[in-house]
Amino acid sequence: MSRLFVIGLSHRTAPIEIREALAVSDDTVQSKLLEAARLCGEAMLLSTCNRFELYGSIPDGMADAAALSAIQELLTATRPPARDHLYSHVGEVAVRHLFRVTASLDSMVLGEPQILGQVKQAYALAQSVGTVGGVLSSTVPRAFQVAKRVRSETAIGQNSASVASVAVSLASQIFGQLRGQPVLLVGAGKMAELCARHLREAEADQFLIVNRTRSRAEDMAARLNGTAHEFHELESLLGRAAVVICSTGAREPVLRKELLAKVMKARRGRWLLLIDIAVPRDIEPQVGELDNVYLYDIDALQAVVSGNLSERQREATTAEQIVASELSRFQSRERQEDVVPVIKALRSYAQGIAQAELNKLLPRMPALAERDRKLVMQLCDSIVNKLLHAPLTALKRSASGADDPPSQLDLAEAVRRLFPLQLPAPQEASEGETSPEPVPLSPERAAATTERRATPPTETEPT
Amino acid sequence: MPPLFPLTLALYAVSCTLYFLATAQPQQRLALRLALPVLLLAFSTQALDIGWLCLHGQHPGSSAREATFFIAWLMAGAFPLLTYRQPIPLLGALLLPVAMMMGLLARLVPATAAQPAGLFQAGHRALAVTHIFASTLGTALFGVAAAASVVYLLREKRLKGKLPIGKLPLGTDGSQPRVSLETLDTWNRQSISFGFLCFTTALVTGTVWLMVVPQPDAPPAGSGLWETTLFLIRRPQYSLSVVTWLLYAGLLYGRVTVGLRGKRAAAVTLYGFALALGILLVYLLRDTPAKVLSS
Repeated sequence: MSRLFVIGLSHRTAPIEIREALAVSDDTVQSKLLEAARLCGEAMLLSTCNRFELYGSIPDGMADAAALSAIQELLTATRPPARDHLYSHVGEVAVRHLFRVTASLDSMVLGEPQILGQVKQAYALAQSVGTVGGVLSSTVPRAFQVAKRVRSETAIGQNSASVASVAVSLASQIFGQLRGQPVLLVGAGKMAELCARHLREAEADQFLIVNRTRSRAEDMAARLNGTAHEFHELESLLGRAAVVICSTGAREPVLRKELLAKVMKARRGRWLLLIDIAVPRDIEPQVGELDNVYLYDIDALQAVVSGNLSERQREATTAEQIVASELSRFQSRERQEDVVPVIKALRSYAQGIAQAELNKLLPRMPALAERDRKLVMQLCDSIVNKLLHAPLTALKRSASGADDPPSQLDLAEAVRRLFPLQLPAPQEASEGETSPEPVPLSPERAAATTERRATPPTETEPT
Repeated sequence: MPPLFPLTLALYAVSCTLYFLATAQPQQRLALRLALPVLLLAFSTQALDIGWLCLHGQHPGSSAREATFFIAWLMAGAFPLLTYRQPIPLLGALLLPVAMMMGLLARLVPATAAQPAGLFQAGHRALAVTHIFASTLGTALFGVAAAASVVYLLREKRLKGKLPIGKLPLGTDGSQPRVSLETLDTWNRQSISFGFLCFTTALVTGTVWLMVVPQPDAPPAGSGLWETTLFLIRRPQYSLSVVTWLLYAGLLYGRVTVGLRGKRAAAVTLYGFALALGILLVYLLRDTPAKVLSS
């Protein structure tokens, strides 16, 4: 039976220069997939900014090391330095890796949602190219289900993991829909723009930009499809805005409590979210004491992010348990599927013997009535069934892992060796590529499959 | 006692527990999925009970006890209506126990309590029914506003305190609902607006009722301030009703004129509902309305 393998590198094992060098463009993915499938029968290429992985299956009769070496050579032929950063897994470990990657447990930002879509895209592309066979088609959809279960049963992707996304989350907590809620940017810094972009993704559609340098405000307004305003308009703009993001380089607070108190009176108590990402702060801390004003400075935002990341980390434990249980179920099902042909062949073998003996016996008993002939045939069937009942049950139990204590014997293999069974040929890859021809490579390279761990990431934004 | 009441009570208890679980463990969506069907079942059995009571002459307008039972039913029914698109288990965990306790209290009050004579005289039935239904509906709506206010205050405290946003309850489909402060405040405003309309109707009809139906312990016409004060002390529900009406009137006026909303509006709503519950309690204990309608 073919086994899943994965070979690749990620943000954990390789610096960005290596990941960049190995990444493939959309144009070249197809040819890479076809080349890989020629070597190993099946292939799926996952290429994101944080990981580059090739999934495939090692066909029967092909040594793991040889197959992996061939794939490794294919992936790094033009970029030899990447070889030191590659890791590879085969069989159960590879399946577990795929489940973890898809469930965002191996992501730079734990629980980020993009990876599931990226794996889906990679799988769809592999399907369209025709490099998906029996192993990938049974494993990858299962990984999607695991990821879905992890997202629905844990809070791993629930709380925001960056300052900008916390700003969006806070705005949603206060206003619900952000469409039609004006966002005022005081200062035209990069961080403010990042927050604004996140708000725009959350359907905010009105951006008012105020900056002491008018041209910078106009540039940002053009990028955000907003409007630039003069600094002296600030008070009236505060009266309109629902969300205010401050990021000026001023040494003194730009928004003081007296001003905001006056503004809130004019706003008739309408809620106001103030995000102050400037250091030194642009907004007096006392502003937060006003009714219906919610002030978050950079420390408060970071505290929320840290709290949320800790929460995700806690949820990751539950998510890992889900992955483990799903892996166990998957393996059990796979083993059961493996044993089905053996069971069929064994039953067919026994029935064949019985039928042959009947064919010899019955012609020598011509006086036997039709009713008695049927009885003899039933007797044969009954004997076959009774003889096979215990071994077939044992086979099924062993395959499902229900043995107590778990059997170390491969009963299916034992049956194959004990009886001259005729088993169906193993399933070929869907694209019907030529049979794999291992590429001879040095054993050192084949052995270099240990995953290396790099320094933990410091970024909080998935790219 | 209506035949399905024990079942209704048990179903409400299960539903409350499920909403508590869904609030405490938002990821366990099974609790949230089960809570609504159980609540709807409880709501249905209580509806059957109310129907049975009506057939036996104990309709919601016949006594404070039945009115309270009816208010509890309305409050329980308001919850799925409000949260149909935006599930808030916390609201269920707050509103449903109140509704359940009110239903239980209504059934614990003896049916044979003293009933002042003459309140339901022939010709005044419409007035009496209008009064009781309007006050019942008004109190139920104030209850909904109060539950939304509690949720608002809890959310607001988290946001003001810059605490981690925490586990938001998930929708039954796993999506994250967006019940914002603005939405909760809107629910508060709408519930109070309609509730105030009902309560005003109840107050007017109640006053007319007092004027047209002679009260045995009422001070005679032309009596002094002291007699009137004594009468109002003996009937605290009248004073409480006026204070409650003034409180909600002030809240609505504040909303319209100076933009009173958010935390302050939520606090006033809670005070108002506490007063409304006080009125109901006084009526329950005194069992003021009579059985005349059924006679």
